[in-house]
Amino acid sequence: MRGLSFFADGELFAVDAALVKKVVRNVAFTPIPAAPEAVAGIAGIKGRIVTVLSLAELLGRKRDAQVVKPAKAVVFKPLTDGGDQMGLLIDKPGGLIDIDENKILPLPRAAEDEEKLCVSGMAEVEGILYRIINVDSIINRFEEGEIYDE
Amino acid sequence: MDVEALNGDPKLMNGAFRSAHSLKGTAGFFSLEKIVAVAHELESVFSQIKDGTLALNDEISDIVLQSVDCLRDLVDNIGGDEAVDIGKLVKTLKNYSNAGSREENTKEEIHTPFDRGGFETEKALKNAARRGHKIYYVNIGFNRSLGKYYKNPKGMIDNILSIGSIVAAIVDGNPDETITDLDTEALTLRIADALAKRDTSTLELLVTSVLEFDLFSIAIEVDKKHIRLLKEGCGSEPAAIGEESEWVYKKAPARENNFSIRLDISVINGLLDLANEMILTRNQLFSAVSRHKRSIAGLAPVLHDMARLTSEIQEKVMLTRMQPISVIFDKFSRMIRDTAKALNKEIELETFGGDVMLDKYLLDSLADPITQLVKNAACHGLEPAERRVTLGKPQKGKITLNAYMRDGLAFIEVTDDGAGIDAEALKRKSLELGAATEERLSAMSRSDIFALMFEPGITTAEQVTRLSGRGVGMDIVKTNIEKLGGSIEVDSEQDKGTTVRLKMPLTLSVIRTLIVEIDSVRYSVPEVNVERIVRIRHGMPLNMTKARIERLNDSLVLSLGGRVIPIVTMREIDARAKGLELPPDGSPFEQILRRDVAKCLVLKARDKNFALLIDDAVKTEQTLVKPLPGYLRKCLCYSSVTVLGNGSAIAILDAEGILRLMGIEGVEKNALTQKDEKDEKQIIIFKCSGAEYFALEMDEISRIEAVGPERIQRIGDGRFVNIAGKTVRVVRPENFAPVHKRRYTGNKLYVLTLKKSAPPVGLLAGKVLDKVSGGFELDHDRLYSDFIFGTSVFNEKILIFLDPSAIAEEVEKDKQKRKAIKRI
Repeated sequence: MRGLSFFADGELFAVDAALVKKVVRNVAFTPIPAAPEAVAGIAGIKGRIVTVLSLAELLGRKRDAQVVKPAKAVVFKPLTDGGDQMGLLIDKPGGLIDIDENKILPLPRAAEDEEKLCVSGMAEVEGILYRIINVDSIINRFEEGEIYDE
Repeated sequence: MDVEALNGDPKLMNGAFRSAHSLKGTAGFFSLEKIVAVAHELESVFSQIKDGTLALNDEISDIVLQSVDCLRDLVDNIGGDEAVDIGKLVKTLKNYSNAGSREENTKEEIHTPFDRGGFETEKALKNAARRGHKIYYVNIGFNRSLGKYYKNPKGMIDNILSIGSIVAAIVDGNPDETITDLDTEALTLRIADALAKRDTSTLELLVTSVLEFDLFSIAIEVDKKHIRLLKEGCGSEPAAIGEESEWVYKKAPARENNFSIRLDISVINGLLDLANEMILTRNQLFSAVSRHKRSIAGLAPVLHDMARLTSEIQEKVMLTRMQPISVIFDKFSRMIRDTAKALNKEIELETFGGDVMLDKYLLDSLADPITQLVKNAACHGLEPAERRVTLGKPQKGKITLNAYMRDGLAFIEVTDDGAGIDAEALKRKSLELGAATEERLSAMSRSDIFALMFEPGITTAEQVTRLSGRGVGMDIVKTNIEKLGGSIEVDSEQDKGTTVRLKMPLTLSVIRTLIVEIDSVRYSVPEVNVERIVRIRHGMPLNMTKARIERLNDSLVLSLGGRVIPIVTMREIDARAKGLELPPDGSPFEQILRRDVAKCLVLKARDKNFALLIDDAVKTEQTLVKPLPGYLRKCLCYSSVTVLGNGSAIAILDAEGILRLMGIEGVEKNALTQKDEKDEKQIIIFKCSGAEYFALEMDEISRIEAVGPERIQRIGDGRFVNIAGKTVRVVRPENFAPVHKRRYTGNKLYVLTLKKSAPPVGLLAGKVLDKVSGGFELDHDRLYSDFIFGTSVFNEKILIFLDPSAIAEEVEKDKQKRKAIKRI
């Protein structure tokens, strides 16, 4: 699997490159009060509404105050045609890496529940450990509004 | 639908007949037996009417319309049609068709040699009949020398096989020689054989075909008198119709020439998105190249063209979602007919303005409310015929549907000339139900009282009928209309009739919104929800609005003209949606109360008012509404999202949702009459350099002084004038409202010194016209500026009511900033 690596919340992550629509710099997003904490805001990207999420919040860590705007974000393809568009705020994009799907390790048992919901596993590529974002799980939780029941 | 209008018009009747027929044929082809059965009987009835053997009357129209409904059901439910019971309908239809055709059929009893046909033939015939085929008996004589009909029997047989199939054939009337080998070759051979023996030969054929009689005859090029339509098939159709109906084939079936295509709505929505994206990109391009507009020759006109084109494309794409309202109106002629029957009333329906175009989604959602209104008019509005006669009205009641456009809104009126609404009965009923109190009722205006009929459970109908009378209808109508961003009003006069007027936006995808800023986040509020914006200056209640923010237990309220309106803050909404508690000490409230200036947006939702604390109202904008992302649907306070002209995305607040989320009641909108603004007031009317008329309350002015222009001195950016020993800073009201500003040329100006300004501020006027007193109802929508209260009409002139405190404040702010601001 081709992966796209990026830095977020001070750590290295990777995501299946096939699920990424684009990486955007200078995302001007509007915060949405009353929305789940993990929602940093909504942005208009090419006339479409994209929800930008904070990975730190998703992982159950507190976001350091307000994210500096404008920020960089990885925008995912919607799961279904016409489905919600979601993106993750990142510190900076890395590069493309090749991940051997057979060598993806599960998360350690001690990992936080929040982390298990959005990280599907870990992979070592050229001596560097990446945590792999589970895009489907994240988008699903938001589309269904389940995030409220948690 | 216009079956009754068809009466006596053979062409139209024939069209109907043909439609039923082709439906039958097609259905037969796909073995949809129920459709075939109904269509067949319907066709028979039509055919009789066409021939004049059956007179079209009300009864028959009824049954015909029912069958059309049934067919529509069946067609819509292809594959799942078991559930549709057609037995009764078919029987009824059969009765009618037989009533007309019995005579005909008995005398047309045809005997053919095939009567004794074998089992195979029988089965084939039944099969064909079930599939909607007709069975024809063709008897042709061939003459070897003259070649009377066909020089070549093969040609005829080929022809027949191209439009149907031959079930059985007999040569020379010898039933024992029934031919089973029915392909062209074999038959031709047989006939050739026969002709070889004698000079003449006859060929008798049983042919099944979906074609009707006349067409069949033409298609196989055999004269009608040699063809008989057998009754075993679907043949209640008399064979004799051939002679008189020459027009049948001359004109090809008139296919309507409206060049339209069907598109999935998602395609159009996608187009709309793209068009909007294009406009955004265009704007970005424009700002990027604006610096080079002059340096690149020919760029400006190209940009100009592009701006026009992109806007036009967006407009056109928007138009694709529009459909004429006649789509809905047309359905009512049928409904009225049925309703009139059920109610035993005579009702005439008139429609106007069917060409008014509305958004597709809006139209779909309007169908039900309008149906309810029309039903109401028919059931409760129109009196029974006897009563109408005693009242001297025409026996036939009239319902009028009228649509028109005004002020960028679509108006739809449902009017009846019936009994009108009994205001007293309505009052009684609402008292009974506790929907209103005695004193409230007495204070209500006529239209307010009529508005009571929208309260749930209120009906003035004495009895519940199959069609209506439960009192829930109007409540639902109102809710639905408001959901669509529209409003509803009723006007009625006893014994004269009732008009219900719906006021709708033209489209749902683009709405006018007010953009507000709260805690430096922008939100959009649909204009239909905005009642007014109130500015409150702490410690200095404005005379004009008499508004104050107060703390009441754990919440803030806006006291406005004697009413107490609950205030909601975005922080409360945020906390409530996340299930958090606000700091119990109410510290955020204290903060708000300490603010010098606060602004409240008074919102209306479902007749309730509440206020939202805002930092600022930014501007109004036409926004394209987009659906909410899934996770936001549960937080209730947003209705949708939108992308603004500058590309940023913001959420659209849902006033009703906020009420629900916060669990607050809101203040009855009825209680929020704008009484405070109608209070007797003394105002001074003046003009500045332009043609506009300004108004200020006398209480706001401490002094009016005529000054010569030479007395006004410039110091830095400001202009000052010395009045009675005080230095008054002079500002021009033109700078605070969207009005004309010109140079003063006269030699006499006026300075209106504002009372509550320290250091003193004066407004510069060109002419002081009048001092009048009276009640002024302010219109907040016409003109928007932070520095005016609104506009009002006096003596047919529009007065702009200035907000002196806001102006004084702004002057002060500017001074503090020490910025070189041109306008002061």
